Amino acid sequence: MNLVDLAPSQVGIIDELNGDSQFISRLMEMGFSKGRKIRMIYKMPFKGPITIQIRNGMISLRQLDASQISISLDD
Amino acid sequence: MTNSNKMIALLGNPNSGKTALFNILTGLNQKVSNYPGVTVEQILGTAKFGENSFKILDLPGTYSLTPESLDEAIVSQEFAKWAKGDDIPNCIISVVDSTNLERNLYLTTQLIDLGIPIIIALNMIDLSREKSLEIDCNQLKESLNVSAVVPISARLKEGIELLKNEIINACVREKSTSKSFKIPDPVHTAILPLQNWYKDHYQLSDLLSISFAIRVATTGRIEGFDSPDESILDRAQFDLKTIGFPHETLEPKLRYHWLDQVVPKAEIPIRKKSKSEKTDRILTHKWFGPLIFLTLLTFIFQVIFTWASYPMNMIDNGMAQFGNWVSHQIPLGLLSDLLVEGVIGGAGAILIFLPQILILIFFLTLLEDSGYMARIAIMMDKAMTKVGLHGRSVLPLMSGYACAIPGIMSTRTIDSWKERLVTILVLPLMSCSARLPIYALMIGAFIPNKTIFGYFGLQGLTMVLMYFLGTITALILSYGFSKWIKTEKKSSFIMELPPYRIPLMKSVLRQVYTRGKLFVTDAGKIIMAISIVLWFLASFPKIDSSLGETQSIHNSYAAKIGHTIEPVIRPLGFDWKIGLGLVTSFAAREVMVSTLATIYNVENGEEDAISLMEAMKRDKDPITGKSIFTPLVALSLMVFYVFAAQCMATFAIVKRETNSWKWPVFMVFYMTGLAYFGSLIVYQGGLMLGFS
Repeated sequence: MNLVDLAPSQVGIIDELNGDSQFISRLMEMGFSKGRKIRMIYKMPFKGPITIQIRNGMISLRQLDASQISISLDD
Repeated sequence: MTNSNKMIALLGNPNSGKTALFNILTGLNQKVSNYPGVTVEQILGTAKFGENSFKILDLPGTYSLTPESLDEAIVSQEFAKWAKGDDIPNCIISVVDSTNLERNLYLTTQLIDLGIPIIIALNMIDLSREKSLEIDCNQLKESLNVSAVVPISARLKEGIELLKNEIINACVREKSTSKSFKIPDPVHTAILPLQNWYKDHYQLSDLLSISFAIRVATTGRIEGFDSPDESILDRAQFDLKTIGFPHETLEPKLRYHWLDQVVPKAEIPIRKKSKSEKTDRILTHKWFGPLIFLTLLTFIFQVIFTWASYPMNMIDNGMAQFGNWVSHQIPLGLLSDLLVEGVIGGAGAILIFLPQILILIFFLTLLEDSGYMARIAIMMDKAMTKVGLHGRSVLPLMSGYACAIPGIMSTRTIDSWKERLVTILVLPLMSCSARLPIYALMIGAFIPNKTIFGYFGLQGLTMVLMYFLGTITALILSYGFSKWIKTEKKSSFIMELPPYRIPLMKSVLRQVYTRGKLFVTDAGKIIMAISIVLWFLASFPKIDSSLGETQSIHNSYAAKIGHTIEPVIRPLGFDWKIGLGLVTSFAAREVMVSTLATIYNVENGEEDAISLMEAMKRDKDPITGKSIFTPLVALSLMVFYVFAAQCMATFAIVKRETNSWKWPVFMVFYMTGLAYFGSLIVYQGGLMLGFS
């Protein structure tokens, strides 16, 4: 599954960051990395950007970008 | 000893509170050589702590030294300069958000490699306390090997004295040469040829050359430096891959790995909901969110019109009285004419709109500082993408309501070139504060002050309509432009949402003051010069006095210019006076008002100075006896101003930002065309419908 599949308030663990290298380094600079916990906060309607919690911060990203982040559910 | 020429650089992530700290440190000694957003690259201020004076450099916020947007590239360019040994600051203050430590320290670890004394300012320590995040400053200082770690709160002005002391200490310290972070040996072996290359070619320190080797392996290039030969680079990247470190993520991986080990854990449980999150349940709610945004926008524009009317009347009357007073103090003649009609008339016509401009800037700053602006970006991103723009286009476009110039500059944060270009192209259609004077004058004089639907003032609604017209046109055109401009690069949208904060009045007011002052001084200079030239054009050539003053303006140079273009603008309902205003306002839109003020004052001649609105209402066509200005003419003129390309400064900035004359020239053409046909449709359509 990928980040977009998380429902609000569900927590996932990052498995893999995909996409081109520039995109991946940007994600990593913003604190995304393998093994990190990530929580879905909310999704904008009409497939708009999603907002997530990671490393004490709130970050928004487009669904297209978020779908590049593979995760597995944390329970 | 005195540190008279010590330089300090402030660096940090966006939203780390860097600028707030800059304001505190520099106090009112800030050199306001910058137009906010224009020289964002380098804001230089001076500060005095005790006997020491410092130069303080404020740089745009960035997450790292590998730039994604133009804004961030400025920081990497500055860094490259320092790495080469030019203009090295005596110390760097790395401003970090203490509530999100690891993410913020990423940039800090990159800065450490320079070998310059670094002070970490742990900002927002008040918020950390609130969230019960404990940070061990001593441990942090030891493990990162920085000069000092000072917990501060720029908002509450906490810890500032301590920070100042540490700055003084750090500035007399020697360069530190210790190694910043441990990298696995196999990685070191793989990048050794790269490290040696930088050492040989640029004589860099060990620390810096390792740092560069890692970065060049990761991204393929380093801002401001040549890259090693491809064969060396390829080899290193290949070696990295074989040992299980794909080069694409090498730098963040190594640095975060190190940070995770040495930074004292200060993490909020992932499931804990923050206050901002709860606030967002309402403010970014599916339905309430957009509704609140629209309500807020309408409220702001209503307020601009109602609140501002009191100070505006005061300024209006005050300037008229001042003009009268001056004309009684000095003997009648050319000088008195010039002063009263040219200078005071021109100044008054501009000052009167200052209240509205200040109120608009006030609200925009409030939205930005509270953290709400970022929410607007995410709420609007989907819609913005539909018309070929970007969530980050919203802020520049909204700044465009104040002034296109800072708006265009702030498009630098949009990381895709195409979306940035489209934003720039349509941005001047957002009604800037320079149009307000014309709208306000026309609406105040010709739109009845009635209330409709029980609550809304007709005047306020007309104003909203003008803003709406510009905005809608901008959105439609951006759709067309984005279809027309081709690009290969994919766009992405990753944005940090800053926590909601109650804006500090003091810093908001400072912004308002700075921008207001710039409007008065910068725009004022142009306007004053044009007013005086106009007065001259309108007053000369003097013909024999028996014909009287009213006759003379009809024979003036100004009238000649106006009359020349009158045939072209007649179908829009404009007479030669408006025509002259259109010509002069190419320099800057608000000049229209001072042009009319100057012409009418001149025309009224001997009479006491009267307000411009009165003069316009009384103005009659000398032949037909009909009023020159009717509500329809006013409307047509306003529509013309919504679209017209009339600000030289804007196009100069576009030239600079797009690095070609192609785009500014294109903008002048398309906007002028829109203005002419827009006006034509309004006026001729209105006539057909029986309005006059």
